Amino acid sequence: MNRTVQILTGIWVVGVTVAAFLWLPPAEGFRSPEAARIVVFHVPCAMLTFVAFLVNAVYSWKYLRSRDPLTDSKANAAAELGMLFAILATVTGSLFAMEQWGSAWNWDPRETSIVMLMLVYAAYFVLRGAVEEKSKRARLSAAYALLAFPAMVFLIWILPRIVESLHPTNTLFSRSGLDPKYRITLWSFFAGLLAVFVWMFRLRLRVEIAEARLRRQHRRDTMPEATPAGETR
Amino acid sequence: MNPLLTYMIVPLLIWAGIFGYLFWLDMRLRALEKRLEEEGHR
Repeated sequence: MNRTVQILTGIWVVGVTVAAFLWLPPAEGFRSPEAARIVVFHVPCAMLTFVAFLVNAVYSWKYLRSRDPLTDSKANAAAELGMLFAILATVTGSLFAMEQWGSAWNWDPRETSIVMLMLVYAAYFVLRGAVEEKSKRARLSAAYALLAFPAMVFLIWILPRIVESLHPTNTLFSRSGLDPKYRITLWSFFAGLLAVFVWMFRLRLRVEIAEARLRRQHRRDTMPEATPAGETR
Repeated sequence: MNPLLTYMIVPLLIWAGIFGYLFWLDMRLRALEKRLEEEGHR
């Protein structure tokens, strides 16, 4: 991501954050109208969690088809970012719940499903950490990610809709769901976070590539040099 | 807690999380690049 795009992204997200305070009115009808505005920050974090795990599944599938180590690195980077956004969505959601529902944690279906989701992807990192051999690790974690993906879809899109929940459903895409000012701010913040996601993803990938180069260099340095006769010196 | 204060904490938490992660990545990348450079000279 070049410097200009980074600066524009920074200006955009700062602008949206300021607008959320100065332009967005408190939401009447909530127990705490001031704090109800938390949704414009909380929901985009939850949406980015889905996007990141979707990217993880896409690159895992690509890895199994191409066996290209770079796609495995991309899948890993996306899963790491998915976890970061899941944590942010959980923490901001708890603050919302504390103000609106009287308790930071209510074991609501969506709260429970995000905890399950984080456990599913924590197991992905445990799996990656447990296998030493690089290609085996990539293969196993890609297969696991493809199994985790339908579980993620079920936990995010289906489970909260089939049981009674404190969270409303179908508010993002229906015209009657959100006040226009809330919709504009929420989607603008999502756009800004998406740009930040791309930024973080690329930086994470550069770290993976640098680590791989260092490993290669170490292997080269520690390997005995071969003589023309095939003997080692 | 004051609802307005709770509302103010939320974006701060998000940006602290994101910039914390970016900062950690940047530090790691710099350290790796330095090591690569050092080992390249050796």
